[in-house]
Amino acid sequence: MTTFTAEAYQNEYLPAGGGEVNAVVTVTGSAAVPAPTSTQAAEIIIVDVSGSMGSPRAKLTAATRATAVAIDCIRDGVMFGVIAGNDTARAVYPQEGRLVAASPQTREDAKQAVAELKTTGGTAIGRWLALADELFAATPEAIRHAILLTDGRDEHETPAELEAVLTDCEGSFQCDCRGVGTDWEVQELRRIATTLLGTVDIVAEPAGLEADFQAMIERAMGKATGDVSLRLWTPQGATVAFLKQVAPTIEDLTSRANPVDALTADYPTGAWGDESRDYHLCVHVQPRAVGEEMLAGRVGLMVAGVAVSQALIRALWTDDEQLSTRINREVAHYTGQAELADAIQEGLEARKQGDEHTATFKLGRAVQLAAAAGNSDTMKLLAGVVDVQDQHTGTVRLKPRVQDADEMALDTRSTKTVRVKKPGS
Amino acid sequence: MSTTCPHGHLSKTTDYCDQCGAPLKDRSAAPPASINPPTPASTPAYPAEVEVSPDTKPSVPAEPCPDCQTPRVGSDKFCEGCGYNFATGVSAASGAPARSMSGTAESWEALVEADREYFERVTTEEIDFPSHCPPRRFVLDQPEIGVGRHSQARGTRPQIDLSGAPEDPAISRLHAILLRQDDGSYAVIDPGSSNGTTLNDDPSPIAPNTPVTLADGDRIHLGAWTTITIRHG
Repeated sequence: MTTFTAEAYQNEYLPAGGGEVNAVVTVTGSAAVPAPTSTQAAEIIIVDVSGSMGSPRAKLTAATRATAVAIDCIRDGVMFGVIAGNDTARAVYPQEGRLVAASPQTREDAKQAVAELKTTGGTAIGRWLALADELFAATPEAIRHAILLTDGRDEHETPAELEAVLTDCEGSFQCDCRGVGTDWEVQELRRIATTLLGTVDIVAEPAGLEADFQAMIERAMGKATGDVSLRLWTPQGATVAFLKQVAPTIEDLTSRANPVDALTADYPTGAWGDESRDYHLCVHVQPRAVGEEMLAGRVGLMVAGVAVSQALIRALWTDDEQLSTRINREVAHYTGQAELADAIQEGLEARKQGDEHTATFKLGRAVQLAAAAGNSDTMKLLAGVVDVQDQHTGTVRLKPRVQDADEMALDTRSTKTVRVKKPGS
Repeated sequence: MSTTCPHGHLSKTTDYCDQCGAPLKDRSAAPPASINPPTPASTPAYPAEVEVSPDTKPSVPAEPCPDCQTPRVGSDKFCEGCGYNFATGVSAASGAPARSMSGTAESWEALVEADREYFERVTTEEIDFPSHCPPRRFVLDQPEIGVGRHSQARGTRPQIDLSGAPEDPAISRLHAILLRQDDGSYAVIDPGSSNGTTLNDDPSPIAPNTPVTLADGDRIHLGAWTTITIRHG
């Protein structure tokens, strides 16, 4: 089991007539046992075997080797399976349309089946996910996680078909998505990963897959508590302007609210292990008189329908401008990180459309924000797309030639954030 | 155990009122409050739909606010939910009493609602009608009023800001503009929104960048479920 703590960071002072309350809530889960063998888990690896995975041949070789490494990391007793996907989906191991418990024998058999995979056909990711959903249905108690690897666009089904499958799978299992090569669509995989509460990343070189698969499986195996929700209560007359996860990555949760009663809603956050995540909440409340106080929000964690920890978001009206104009450090930091992600995505989009002026402006702003926040990983990725002349003023020049892989890496990783530097560290 | 807050609500939580958020006296001594709902029905991990009933509040039968249906507390002058003034009948959604900037007695306002009839007429995709969406009222007191969603990246916030949960997913950042005419009435302009704007029962969208004059009671439809009714008071 995981124990949770929630802490709120905010400037609770509002000016007379002000109603916008911002807070950053840090939620930390600590697993009592690092590898919780008692927790039931289910794992499915979905490998793209469409025709394009065979050219160059190294792609499929790397994918099968990475899958084998991942299979080796699945601990004994975890229910697992492997799906091969092209324009249809096929259970490669086991073939009987169910999952099996991992053991030295079943892991060997699975690796054997994976080694014999052949490439052919097209890409219909929705059908792969639908099969995974079907297989997971037999293990409703387990923490359910899938890895999806593809190298191409979802071309052999309509976007509506994929959308319908995503709606069915949402909340049923989590899925981390990986794109290999540069012929896949960042938006498409991001949509799948976001809906299924997973991560998305590019593995530009097939050789990098093994380490990445290993890391993903280890992270999945480290999850001790499934189906955790944030529960947010706000007072009468208040509206939730947004609720975003802001670390380790930016995910807007606002539209995922499941109302509990007129004032309370739950936001699913998936499975948790030994980890910490930050959330930025913005609530608009009806202003009260100077000197009055109001509870503007109560943020709690719901584990299996039980509230385990909570943080209070307060509002206090004051006519002291020194108090009300202060911006909380955590809130300022993550507002900047969210702007950074937007600037990168809008800058790359403008570049694609040939609007160099907007692209230069947006990517320059991104450089400036990344530098200010000490986001050195993003800074390195930006340097693949622009020549930085002055990071403090955001003066940049677009690179005339950009590697597709550099651009896609910047796009997929634009939502990764750095945390607030604690004073003294 | 429940406590009565200074505004007269019965609260199950003892630190702050679980209705209006007002601080309660004994909160230093109070045990940590639970955020479970008053009636803890077996909560599935991802509840599909929860009936939102306005009468779960334990207060005595009270006159509901005409704006947001929140029961009036005692003889309070203002609605606890939205700030509606029961004494004068003036909505406070804009934070200011309704009055026209031009100084004349007449005023125009826009009432924003989630409109099921319109939703069912136009929305075919996988969008759910929001189960809880209080109406919002905006006083039209500027010569030019933007309608849309605010954008943090662009730093823009239209005066009629339709952001916030439940957010209509099919509304553009700047979806429409209300433009004051010489006679004080308003016209609507669609500056080329992604999904268009329609008027009243006419299913075809209005031409982009062309002002259409609005009369009292005209309904502007936009997005997946949003209807803005223009009123002249």
